[in-house]
This record gives sequence, structure tokens and C-alpha cells, in this order.
Amino acid sequence: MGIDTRPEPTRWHERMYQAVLERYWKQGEGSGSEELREPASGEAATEPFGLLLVRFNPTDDETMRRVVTRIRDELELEPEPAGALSAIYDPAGRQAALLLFGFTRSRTHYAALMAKRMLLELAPGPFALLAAEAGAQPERDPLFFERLADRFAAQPEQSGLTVWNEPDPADESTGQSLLLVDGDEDMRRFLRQRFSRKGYRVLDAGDGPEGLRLFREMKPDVVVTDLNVAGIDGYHLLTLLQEEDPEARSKIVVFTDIRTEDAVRRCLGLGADDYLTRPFSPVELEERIEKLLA
Amino acid sequence: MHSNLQIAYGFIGVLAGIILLGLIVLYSLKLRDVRRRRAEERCSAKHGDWLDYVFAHLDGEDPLYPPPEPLQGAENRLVLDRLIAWIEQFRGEPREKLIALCERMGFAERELKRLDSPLQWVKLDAAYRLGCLRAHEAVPRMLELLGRMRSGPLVFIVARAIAKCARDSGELREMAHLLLAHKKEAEPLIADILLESPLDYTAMLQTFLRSGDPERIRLALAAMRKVGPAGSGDRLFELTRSEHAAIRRQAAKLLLRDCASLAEARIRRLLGHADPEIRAEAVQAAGGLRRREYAGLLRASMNDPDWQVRMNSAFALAKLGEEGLAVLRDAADRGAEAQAEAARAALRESGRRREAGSLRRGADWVPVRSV
Amino acid sequence: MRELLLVYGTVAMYAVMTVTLIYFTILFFSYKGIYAMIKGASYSRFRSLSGSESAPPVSMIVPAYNEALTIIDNVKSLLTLNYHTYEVIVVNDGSKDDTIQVLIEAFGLVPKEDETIRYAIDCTQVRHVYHNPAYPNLYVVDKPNGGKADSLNAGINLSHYPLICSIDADSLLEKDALIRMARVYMENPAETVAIGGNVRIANGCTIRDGVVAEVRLPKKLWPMMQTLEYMKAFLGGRIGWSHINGLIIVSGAFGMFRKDAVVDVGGYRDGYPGEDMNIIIKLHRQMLDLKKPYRVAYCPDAVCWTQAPDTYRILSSQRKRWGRGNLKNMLENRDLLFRPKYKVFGLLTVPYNILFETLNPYFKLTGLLALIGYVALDMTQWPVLLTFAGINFLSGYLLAIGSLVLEQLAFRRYPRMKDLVKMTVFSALMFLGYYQLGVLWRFQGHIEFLRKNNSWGVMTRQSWNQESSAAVNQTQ
Repeated sequence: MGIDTRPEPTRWHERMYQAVLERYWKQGEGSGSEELREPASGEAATEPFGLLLVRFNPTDDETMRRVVTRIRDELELEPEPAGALSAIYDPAGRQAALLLFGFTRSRTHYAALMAKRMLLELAPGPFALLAAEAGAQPERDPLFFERLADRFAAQPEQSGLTVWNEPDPADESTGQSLLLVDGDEDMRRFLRQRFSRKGYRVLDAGDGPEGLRLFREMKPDVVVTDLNVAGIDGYHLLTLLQEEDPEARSKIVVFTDIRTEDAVRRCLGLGADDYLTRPFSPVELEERIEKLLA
Repeated sequence: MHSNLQIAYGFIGVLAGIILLGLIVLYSLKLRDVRRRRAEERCSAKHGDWLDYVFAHLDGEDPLYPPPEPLQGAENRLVLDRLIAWIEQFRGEPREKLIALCERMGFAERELKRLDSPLQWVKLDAAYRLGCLRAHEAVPRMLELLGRMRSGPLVFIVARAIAKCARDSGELREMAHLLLAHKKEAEPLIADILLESPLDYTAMLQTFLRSGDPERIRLALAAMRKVGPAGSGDRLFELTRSEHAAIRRQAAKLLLRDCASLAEARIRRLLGHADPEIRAEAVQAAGGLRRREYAGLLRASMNDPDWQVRMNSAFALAKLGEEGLAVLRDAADRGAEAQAEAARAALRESGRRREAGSLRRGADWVPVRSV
Repeated sequence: MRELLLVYGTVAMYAVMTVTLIYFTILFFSYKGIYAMIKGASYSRFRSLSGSESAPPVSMIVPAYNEALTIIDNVKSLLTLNYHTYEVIVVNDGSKDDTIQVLIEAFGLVPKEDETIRYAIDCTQVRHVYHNPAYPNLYVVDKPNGGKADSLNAGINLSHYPLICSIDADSLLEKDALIRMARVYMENPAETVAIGGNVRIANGCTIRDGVVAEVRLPKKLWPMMQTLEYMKAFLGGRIGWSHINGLIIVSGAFGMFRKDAVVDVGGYRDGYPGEDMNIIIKLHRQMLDLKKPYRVAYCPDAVCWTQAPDTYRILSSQRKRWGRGNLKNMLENRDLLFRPKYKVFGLLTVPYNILFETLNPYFKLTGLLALIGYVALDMTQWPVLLTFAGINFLSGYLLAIGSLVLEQLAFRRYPRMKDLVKMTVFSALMFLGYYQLGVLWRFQGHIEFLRKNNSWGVMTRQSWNQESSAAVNQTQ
């Protein structure tokens, strides 16, 4: 490698980006080139890559480095040895980023939990912790780190642990919309997380009347509904949805505990496009929805 | 008199004592309950982040790891209950990952130890949890427990746990035998319990069907409603001649569900069966086939002494198109009163269907004002 | 004379002690029975079971007389239960208000011509059956007035399923109440002929969208007293009686029956109140006569919320009616008394009911009066009176505490500590007049019976919204 003539980056996010570039170069074959190599078409994406941003009130820089180093060491070993970690400190102080090369999303999330625990132990006082996953090819997107740093700056001091998912679902306006009608709050949260990540715009309703209202207002592309919803008979809900949407622009998937043949027949007769019983496989639900929307 | 009063005083004393005891028990139960709820909230707050992590990553190749801060005391039970609730909701990969997580956290091991407890309620609790965790090692002990239990609602808990954990159909068979031995005729419930198992137990059902024991037969019939008759057509047909009404009707229903592949000779036999309920089912199934050849038989069935058979025949004829409708009109005009009544009802219904049929909706759709 | 009074008073005292011992035995059986019932329920996954093919279809029959104010809410709530296959049959018993019109308009019902009712049980001829295919589970039967039992019989005649469930028009069922009852049936279908549900008082609870969102004790006095009374009767009493298969009554507000068993005994007896106790007595008698194994079960975790009368007038009218019905039932069935052929029912239940439910008030009252008289004649003997009152109070209070402990062990519906305190205090206060009023009402009921009074008395239906603070949501 030739002599690095660029000035040392002064901003935190620039430093992060620099570290990512260095890693990317190290990963590539050959040496000596300062330019970015264009990946050949069809080449596999780079290794998974997570980030942990930490902010707290150390008494001095030395303490900060000590704490962050301890965290880094722990994360490298537990629960299984993995990846390579870099610690990037904010020149302005108080903040550090741990670049978790080779960490998948779930591993990053778990690392955040471990980091949280260690912070509670080693650095008493308010702290902010953000776990994020970089998109594909982060080495090509320096702005991502800037966005990340800004996002973290906006996070309040005592917020504890937050997890950030890109792309931000609220910004997504080109994806298809999906309405969930289910009385179980946990299940709604699960499906909402899952489908947002897949790029759908997710609306959810906890009972029948709310679901109907959202359907009228937003005209979603897909409706996933239970039959045992509060406030209205499930079959009646299907009837009303049909009434709202006579040309069947929206696809309706019934997703319920009721497993009798009779119920399946009735629902399909009332305009449902598919019927999935619980217990269910989330992958199957996704596939069926995709097939309907294709 | 005095002695009476003494007895009365004694009685009062005992009563007062028990009341005091009762009040103490009552308030301590309440306090325990309040404390428990607070502990639950604390546990949620403390481990909420980790539960979110588990929830968010149920898919994917990475295994799930236990919380960085180990669980203490009552937190184990609370977390296990949450995880079990999710295990029961999902199938496939999420379920496997959650079960692996519980294994890693040592839950299965703990519950297996509790299964050996001398207290029955602890055993039951452990059995239920082991069932949800699909812990196969527990099956022999659970079968033993099931064998020793007296009849009541509790046997079904253990049976369901065994069904979830069983890895070969021999274990399912033994569980079914133990349940049937209580002789409560709870076969539909047992069939539902069998469905908890991922195994393929059609062979076992076929054996039950061929046995001479009415309980086993009923169980097989109930279970086949969900898993299908699986090639037992001959035996089912034989059972339609059973002396037990429930058995022959169930067998006929199963045969007729798959009417299209049923031999014509058999359909005819069922149409002429001695039991009116079976005739009614047969007529309805034959109508569903919409075959011209059956028009004559259906016409004859309209003369049946049983009301339901007549109605079903009329409706079946209505489905046969113009030919059937002509027969119906004829019966409505010239047939006996019983026939005419059925024919008229069917004609009315078919008229309504034709009106609604042009729309995309099912024929039952009626404009409805929101209530 | 004084001696006579004393002896009578003493006898009354011993009678009270005996009754107390029987109460305790039943309470003991309640504790014994509750374990299996609750464990069985807590480990069942009802959501999953309610969607299973193996859960039998149920016909719910709702007799309605002058229910225009609440019938829509009630039917809407019944149509949204968590159960895969069931039907709701509302029987309009010749209401004088516009109950039937309200129903027809709200659900778009039209007369159904191809529904033929087979009159398996004798009842008044039905005028029309209304139906709307958009609500395939709802049937409304219009018939001339014939009484509650007659309406139930008409509903049974129409019903299409092998299980029937009798519901009051002002009952608010919990979403999983039906599957909980059905589970009790499924575990023993051959022997179970009837299952009773738990009836709780909804006054003071917040009701949203036909669901009890928050459980609170009633604010008014009368419903509060009734809450405690129901708890004592249902938890302390019925669980125990059903455990020994001696249950004499399944509440008309929420009870499930096997249709063929009910048809076999000739359906509900009409023309007089108390048909809910009567049908159970008939079922016991029939099954014991035929020597078939059977059980009349009780499902304490299947809950139906009901509005309790909150004025003296309506409450007393209700209790007088119950008193009348009770006396008639006991007189009609006195041949079961002490007959070994009728096992627990004949040897324990019926005698207990005749001697201690129907006649005990008289014993207690007259015993009290006798002792008062005795003391009035010899003031130095006032401890006797106090003792008598003391035994009465303490035994009753112990039973109340016993049922509160059961509630706390098994159900825990009232989560707040101050609710518990209120309940323990009021359980004691009830002895300062409420029980005495109960005796009076029963006595008046007996008098009405003897006078051949046959009316249903005063019933003013109030809207569900009366005591709830949140407005009931309307679906659009």
C-alpha cells in the first residue's frame, strides 16, 4: 500500500467510514491499490456488518477507552468467538462506535444487550446505546455513517438501548401496504416488524371496527385478518370488506386459529383469497402474500 | 341447658378460630398475588430488551442466546411461560429456534427434574411445560404418570404433552390406549390431542379402524376427519353396516366426503341405506357430484319417508341444471304434498341463487347495513 | 311456657349447627373439586381448542321479552364469541315493545320460509322464523307470549345442533366462555347432560364493545350484596355440589345441556318460575331412574356477566319469584326425599334443599323469636340470645370467607386490595339486614305460591350503559 496522503479524518463518522474502507481493502485480494475495486458482477456481498454506538459520561478519556475496550473484548469472545471488532472514538469525546465486522443482525442485537449490561456495571449513570446494521456495501456509502451519527445525536441521553433498522419504514412510500387485524398485541408487533423489514408499509388494528376504519381510509393492498376479532364477527368483517371493495383490489388473507373445513369454505366464499391456520410458519405467510400480490 | 350453652360456646370458639385463620390465609394470598404481579412487572422491565431480541430474530440461521444477565428465581418461570406462548403460536423454524434456546437455558432439564417430584401438581406443571418444549426424554415418565392417574380433566393435560413430545407412533398408541381405558367416550378430544403430534399415525388409525373395539373405531373415525381415510375405503364401507349408530354415520360421512372417487355401486347402496341420516348424507354428496346419471335416483329419493332426505334430494336436483329443475317443477305440480313442499323450497332457493350468481360474491351475499 | 320457648330455641340452635356442618362439607368438596377444574382449565389452550373440529357445535337460545333496549348489544356480543361453529336463536316471546322490530331492522332479517320446525317438545306455535344469510348464525323466532320456559322449548325445537345453551337476554358472555364449557363436555360427552356456568355481577364494571374491560365491585348497595351472595352460592356451593354430582340448579342465565337429554325429559316446564331448577331435577330423576351413569357438571371458569337489580322493588320481586319457584319445585319433587335409589341427589341434595333452603328460614326466624320471647320473660338469660345470634353470624361469615378464599385461590377477578377489604367488611354487614330481608322475601314468595300467584313481577330492563363509565363503541 502506498503512503496514505489523505489527512486523518476529523469527524467521527468519517473515521468510521475510514475504518470500513480499510477493512474492505484488507479483505480484498492483492494490494497496493488505493482506489476502490469494483466488485465483479455476481460477486457475493461483503460480510455482514453491525455497529454499536455508545455514549456515556466517563470521567476522562482514559476511562472511556478502558470501558470501551473491555466491552470490545467481551463481545469478541461471548457467547461465541466471532468476527473482528474495531473501536472508533469520537474526537469530540464521550462517544464511541464499535464496528462489528462479521456480525449478523441478530448477533449485533445480542451484542447490544451485552454492552448494555456492561455499561450498567462499569459506567453508572445515564447512557445511550444504538445498535444498527449497515446495508449492503457500506464501503460505498459514506453518508450512511453520517446519517447514523446524526440519528444517534438525536437520541436522548438516558434512552438506554435502541435498535435502528434501515430502511426507515416511514420513508418507504413505494412499497405495498399491508393491514393487520388481530387482537393479540404480541403477534401484531411481530408481524409488523417482520413485514416492515421486507419493505411493506404496515398498518395494524387491534379490533374489527378499527380495522374497518383503516381499510376505508388507506385501502391497503393486502389485509391479514383473524376471525376471532373483538367488536365484530369475523365473517361479518369479511362481508363488510367485500362491500367496501367490490372489485377485489385488495387481497384478503384469513389468518386464524379456526381449523374447520366449514370455516375455510365460508371464508373463501365471502371473498377471502387465502386461509392460513395457526400455529403458523412466518415464512409460509410471507410466501403466500407475495404470491397473491404478484 | 347449661351443657347446651357450653356446646354452643365451644362451637362459637371453633368458628371464630377458623374465621381468623381464614382471614389470615385470605390476606396473605392476596399479598402474595400483589407481590407476584410486581415481580412480573420488574421481570418484564429487566428482560424486556432481551425478549425483544428473541422476538425480532426468530428467523434466520443464528441461534438465539440466553440473556446476558442470568435469570433468578421466579424470573425463570415467567420467561419460560412467555417463550412457551410463542412456541405454541409458531411452526417450523421459529419453533425450533425457541426450543433450542430453552434447551440452552436449561429449562428442559429443570422441568425433567420436577417431573420426578412426589407432588402431583408439580408433576402436572412439569408435564405441561415439557410437552410445550417437545422434550422427548420425558415421554416414558409421562406415560407412566398417565397410567397412574385417575379419570378427570388432568389426564388430558398429560396426554397432550405426550402427543407433542412423541417421536414414534408406538408412544402415541400407548397414550391413546391409556385414555380410552377411562371409557369416557371422549374420542373427538383424543383425536384433537393426536393432531398435536407431527408424526404420521395413519397406520395406527387403520389398525384401530380394523379392530373390533367400538372405542378404537370411534377414535379412528374422529381422527380421520382431519387426516383423511387413507385407503380404508373397504373397511369404512363395512362399518356403515355397524349396529352402533354413531359409528355407521361417521363412517358414511367419511366415505361420502371423498365422493368423487367412490364407486357408483357403493353410492347406490348408501342412497338406499336403512338409516335415514346416512341416506340424507348420501343424497347431499351425490348432488354435489352433479352427474346426470343420478337424476333418476334423486327423483326416487324425493319419495323418501324422511323429511331431510326429501329436502336434500330436491336441493341436489336443483344443482343439476335444467334437467333437474324440470323434474322439480314436475314434482311441485303433480307430486304428493311431501314431495311438492321440498320441490317448491328448492325452486325458490335456486331462483335466489341465480339472481345473486352474476356477481362475484358467493350466493349467500345480501346487502347489509352496518350494525 | 318459658321452658317451651327455650327448648324450641335450643332446637333451632342445633338445627343451625347442623346446617353449618353441611355447608362446611359442601365447601370442603368445593375446595376438593376446584383443583382439577382449575388445573384442567389453566393448561388448556382455549384459543386453539375453539378452532378445532372436535369442539361440538352449540345452539344458544336467548328468550327475550320486552328487551328492546339491550337486545342488540346482547346479540352482537353473542355473535362474536371465540368458537368456530354455533348459532344464536333469539326467541321473541310476544314482546309488547318493539323487540322484534329492532332486531329485524338492525340485522336486515327476513322471514325464512324453508325452515320447518319439528315440534319435538310441546310449545306454542311459532309465527315466523327470521334469518339473514349475511348473518348465517342468527335466527330470530317470533311467537306469541308463553313464558320463558315455552320460549326455550321453541328454541330447542328450532335448534340444529346437539348441544344447547340457555342464555338470558341480558347476559354478557366472555369470549371464551363457550369453549370453556364445551371443553368440560368434550372430556366426558357420554355422561355429561348439563353444565352450569358462573354468573358474576357486572354492576360497577366498565364495559366496552360488549366485553367487560375492567372488573370492579358495584358502587350501589344492593348489587354489592348480591355480588357477595352469588360468590358464596356459586363458588362455595355449586362447585362442591357438582363434585359429588348433587347439583340441583344450573343458572338459566348461562347453562349448557345436551339436547337429546332435554327432549327426553320433555323440555322445560312452563307456566311457573323456577324452570331452571326444574329441568335439572328432571334430568337427575330421569338418569337415576334409567340407572345410567351421568353427571351434571359445573364450569366455574366460564363466566357470564349479568346486571343485578339495584332497587329494592326489582330485587324483592326477583327473590319472591325465586321463592315461589323453589317451593313449587320442592313440593312437586318431594318423592325424591330420602330415597336411596336417587343416591346423592335423593339422600342429600333434596333433603338439604327442602329442610334447609326452603324451611330453614322459618326455623331460624321462629327460633329467634322464641329466644327473644324467652329472654323477654327472663332478662338474665340474655347470653342465650347472643349465643344464637353469634352462631348464626359466625357460621355464615365463615362460609363467606371460605368462598372469598376460593375466589382468591382460583379466579382472582378483583385485583385490588381495597376490593378485598370491601368484600370482607360487607360480608359481615350483610348480616345486619340483608339476610333477614332474604328470609322475608322467601316467605312472601311462599305466600304468593299458596295464593296461586303466577306472574313474573316487576322487571325493568336497563341499558348496559347505566353504570359503565366508558361509552359502548358502535361499529360503523
